[in-house]
Amino acid sequence: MTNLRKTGSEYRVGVGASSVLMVLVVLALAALSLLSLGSARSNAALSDRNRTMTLGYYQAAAQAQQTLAAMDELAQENASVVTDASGWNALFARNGLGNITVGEDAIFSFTLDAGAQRSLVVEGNFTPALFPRLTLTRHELISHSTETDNTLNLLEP
Amino acid sequence: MRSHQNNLLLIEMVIVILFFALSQAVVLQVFTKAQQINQDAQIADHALMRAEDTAETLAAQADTEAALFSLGFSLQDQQYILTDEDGYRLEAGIERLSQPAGILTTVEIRAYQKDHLLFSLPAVQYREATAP
Repeated sequence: MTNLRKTGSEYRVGVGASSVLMVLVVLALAALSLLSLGSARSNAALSDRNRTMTLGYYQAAAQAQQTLAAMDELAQENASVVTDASGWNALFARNGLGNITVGEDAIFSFTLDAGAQRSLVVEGNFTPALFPRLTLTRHELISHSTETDNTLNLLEP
Repeated sequence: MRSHQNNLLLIEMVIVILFFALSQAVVLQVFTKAQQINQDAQIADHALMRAEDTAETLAAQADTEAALFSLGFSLQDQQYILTDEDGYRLEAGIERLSQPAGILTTVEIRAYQKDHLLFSLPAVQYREATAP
């Protein structure tokens, strides 16, 4: 090392050695601290995204239960009046439940937005004259997000 | 000559120590901020996991109050409260809407870190009234 000078039989620290050492240490610590801060921020962003997605699902699930409650109330009140699927569809549409579709096979379905390009699909058997009137057969979160340009698609020519 | 060099070295050491102390103050602040951000994210993650666990337990059990007690909530001023040693607090408020066809139970689970609201998670369950 150029900053260490041999004087007689002992080595002495020359002028500038401590400055060089300090610069190296400060640079190393600054780099570490910035890396640590970057890592913490990306971790927090991931945590936020996870929370947004989870809350989106639970809000959609809550809305689904409220829709089922409103649907069941109408089904109970009108079970003796309405007999076919088109009648139920019209009744639900009149009562603000236009997203519900009842098929001829006595299966109802509706879809709710769960945020982040996802939908909650609810399906079930609709038997207004029997108990239980509603039997869920599907309660599934599906994603609409497609592969982005950044994705390496090996199947594409 | 030797004395002059020693003086230079001494002055350099003083400057180095001062500058090092100054830079360490900045670096330590950055480290502290990073640690705080990580800690906040960890607390929010734990609170979210606990709230999800609560919501799923409520969906699976018919007796809402019993389910909350089994999860460690305690009743204080009409609110079910769970304080965790990780540094968050969950508050659950129950609301019931009875109709002839069934009962709609809404449990709003709110997570707080100190007095700051982290999130509010709704757990709603509709149960048809028993067969006539």
